[in-house]
Amino acid sequence: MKPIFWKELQQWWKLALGGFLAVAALHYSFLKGIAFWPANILYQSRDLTILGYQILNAVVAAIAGLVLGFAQVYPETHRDQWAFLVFRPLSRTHLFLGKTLAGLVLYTVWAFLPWALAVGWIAWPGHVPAPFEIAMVYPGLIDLAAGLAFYFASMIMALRPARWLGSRTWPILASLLGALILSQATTAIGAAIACLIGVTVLGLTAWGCFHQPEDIGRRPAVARLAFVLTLSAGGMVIVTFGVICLQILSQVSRPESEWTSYTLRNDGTLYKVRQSGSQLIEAHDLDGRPFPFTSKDGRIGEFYSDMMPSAHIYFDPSSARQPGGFRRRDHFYVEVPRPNEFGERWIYRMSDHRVHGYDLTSKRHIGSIGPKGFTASGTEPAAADHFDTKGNLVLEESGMRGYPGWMSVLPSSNQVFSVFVESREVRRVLTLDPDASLLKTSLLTGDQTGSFVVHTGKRIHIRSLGNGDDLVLPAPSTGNKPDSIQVGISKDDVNGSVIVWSGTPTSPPDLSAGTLRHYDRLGNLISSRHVAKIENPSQSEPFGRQIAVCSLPPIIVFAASVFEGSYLAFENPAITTLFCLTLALLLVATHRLLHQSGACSRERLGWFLTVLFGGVAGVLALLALRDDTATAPCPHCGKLRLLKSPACSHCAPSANASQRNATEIFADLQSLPDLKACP
Amino acid sequence: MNADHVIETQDLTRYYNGKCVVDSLNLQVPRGCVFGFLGRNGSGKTTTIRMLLGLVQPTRGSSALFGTDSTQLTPALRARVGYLTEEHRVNMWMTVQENGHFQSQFYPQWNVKVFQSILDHFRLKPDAKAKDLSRGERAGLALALTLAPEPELMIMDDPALGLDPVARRALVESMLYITRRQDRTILFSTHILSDVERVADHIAILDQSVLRVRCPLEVFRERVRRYLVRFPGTPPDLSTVPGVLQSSRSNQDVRVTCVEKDQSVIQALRSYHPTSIEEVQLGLEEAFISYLGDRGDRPAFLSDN
Repeated sequence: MKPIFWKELQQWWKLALGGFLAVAALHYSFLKGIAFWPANILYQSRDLTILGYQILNAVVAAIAGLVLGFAQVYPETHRDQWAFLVFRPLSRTHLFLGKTLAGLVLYTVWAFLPWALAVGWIAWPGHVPAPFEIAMVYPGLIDLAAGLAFYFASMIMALRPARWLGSRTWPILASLLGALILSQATTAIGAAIACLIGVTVLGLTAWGCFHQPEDIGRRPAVARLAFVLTLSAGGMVIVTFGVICLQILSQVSRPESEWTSYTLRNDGTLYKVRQSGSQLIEAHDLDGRPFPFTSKDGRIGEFYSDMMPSAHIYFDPSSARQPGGFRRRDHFYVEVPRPNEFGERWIYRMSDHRVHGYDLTSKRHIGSIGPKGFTASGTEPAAADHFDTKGNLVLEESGMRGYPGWMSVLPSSNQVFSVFVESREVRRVLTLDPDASLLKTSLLTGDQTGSFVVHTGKRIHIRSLGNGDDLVLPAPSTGNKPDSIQVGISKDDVNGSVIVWSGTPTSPPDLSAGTLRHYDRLGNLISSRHVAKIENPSQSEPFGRQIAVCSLPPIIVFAASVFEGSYLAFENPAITTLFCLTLALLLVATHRLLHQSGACSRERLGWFLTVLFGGVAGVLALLALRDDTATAPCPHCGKLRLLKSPACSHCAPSANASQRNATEIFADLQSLPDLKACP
Repeated sequence: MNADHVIETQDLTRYYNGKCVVDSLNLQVPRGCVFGFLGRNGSGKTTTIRMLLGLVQPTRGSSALFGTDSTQLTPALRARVGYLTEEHRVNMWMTVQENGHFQSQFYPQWNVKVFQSILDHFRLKPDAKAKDLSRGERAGLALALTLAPEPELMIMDDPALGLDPVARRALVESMLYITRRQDRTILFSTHILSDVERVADHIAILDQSVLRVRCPLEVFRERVRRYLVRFPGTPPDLSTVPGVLQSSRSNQDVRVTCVEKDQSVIQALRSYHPTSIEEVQLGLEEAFISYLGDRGDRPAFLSDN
């Protein structure tokens, strides 16, 4: 194995070095803010949390893997060159390992080393005005590991003798699918496990292809299984692409749908609004009075320009876990709003729940702010001196009248603090009752008195920093389901009544069913009105169910219908018929393909299961993998016969027997007494 | 499997895209022989060789090297076999010396003297890049890489392809050198019949994927004959006589090339009551061409009368 390893290194080190230089230049240009990067990326602090930088790293890893895997294998796949490589006293596995280990080293030089140097530079104090945590390298490490999936996929593509426009490129599609799955992982450990599975499957597939490029049946069983999974994943991408195209086509012909929702305007009036696409058709309040203002062309104008400025509290614990969570910047820190000309940068750090400041000129750490105040850099704050957001962090900024600088509102246990980063001040602005637990806090937008809202489960506190008033209202009951609460100060009233909306979570500014309550400034309920849910026509895609039934694996369609009867339900005869037809077609196609390939009963069972669980993707994988050389038409009876058998099973035995004539010459050395053995 | 045979096949068959390219091949290659493997282009020689080496899976049947199934060859067995490919493939980006060093690491029995002597024979410089070598020089390098491990069995697929006469002669001499030792065996496929005549003592011929000849070279030379058969009048079509390969009629003569065994063909020709039957001298090359050429009656140029 060692000779192969050194041979590969010797052969491809220049390629890896060239890749290293190119990637290092990319990293350098990013870190130094050299042009051609999008301005919005350069405007941010250039650290490992920038999504664009992570994408760069992932793309570099993929390209490095693709190029190396292909380069190491494809030039040697020519028939005689392959024979020269593999026909030597070394097993195929050792050959493969030698190539792969060398490939790992080359890949490390190309993709990992420049990234590692960049990480070192970023981590060095004084280079980037942002914190550095070890967890910040996890996304990059995982993306680099995922590049190995592309390496093996490229190797498979180079080894496998299939059509370039056919299934030969499917391993690459499988890698892309894996990358997409990785991007959606919420935790680093989940992403690492997904990456490990993907790289292992593709690695085993590559090993199997190296073992036997053409004859799948001679590969080790685990490699065969991995191959089926790889091609099925690739087929799934093809199917998904087809489905997306179908849905786009069906959408093009679809007329704009209309829907109706509620919207709260700044005078506290709830309007029922009907719109089509982005066009507002009509708006009436709950008493039927139309919206009074129209634009010159007769359309409803300026409707959304006067929305209720409010604190929108959407209470849903699950919203904290988002796809790609461990990659996101807000997994590590959140920017604290500040004036643009401010020479400092302040962030709220998730690891210690303190507000940290960095000097933008020296890029060094200034210090941090906790509930007990500012602690300069170099001094360790007390262990308990931190905020406590309970995953519901909301940082709002307010150019508050009468208050210097910018304010952020931060909760901590049952207290709420306001933080002024310019003056490094911390002020406790609210202390809750012992039985209250702080659920959510938010500033009232548009309000110049710096009022903020705190939701404690039982009560809603509206605290005005301007005059120190504290208004406490009963919190709407949410039950066990998440609820959406909007609190605002109406514009038209002289003293501004308080509006509290609680309803089913929706996308603002649209509101669904809920209750609108008006309170006066003393907290007395003025009015309460409940509005029922508006039933809009189904927004589902035309033919969406039909497409899903035809493209999803039959097992999933069946399970979804049984366990979640509202979608793909069997009570719809047309959908049921379509499902049965699709299933029949899939099974017939599978049977036909297996019959042509002369598969044994065990293989047939495996493939039928693959199709049941993989659907169209499974059939595509079978199409790509089946051995269509196993059968051929019999020259005598014309029916398909198994070539492994010496005789055609349909007609006379030995139907393909060689035609002998009287010109054959068969003789051995020993049969000729006058001929001597070889000297 | 016979221990005296280094290569044995049993009904070895291979299909490509429904077409049979090797059909029920039964071949035995004795130990210590130089075995010429002949046939027209596309007759299945290379496919057979690749199946023997385990590079291609047969559709049906089996083959064995040193008594071991070709699909189960171990690294130790592969060390005893040298394979020279048709295109004389080497590592093109390496120099001559680097190719030798790389290859030597796989073979404990690597003979540096053999390697160097072949390089000297082909006048190859150690620091020359393989990609800069001519076709013949690269063949010499490939031959050196194959012979230096001193394999017991050499399998060469058209080794003289693209070589000039001088390089070809060097190749043939190398083959003769190998077979000085009685335990060395060579199987080579070729189209150069003079090389076959010079070195081979046993041949096999594939005709349209079917093995038609497997015998010592002398037997082939003896059995393939040509007769000039004269008739008093218009000569009949003799191509249908069993054993006749080709016939060519002109005026009153028929030139018949046939495979003669136990005088059966000449007996059959006499039944047509010719004026005379003369045996015509037939060279080995002509015999091969006749055997592998189109069968049946062929028109001949009429002589000037």
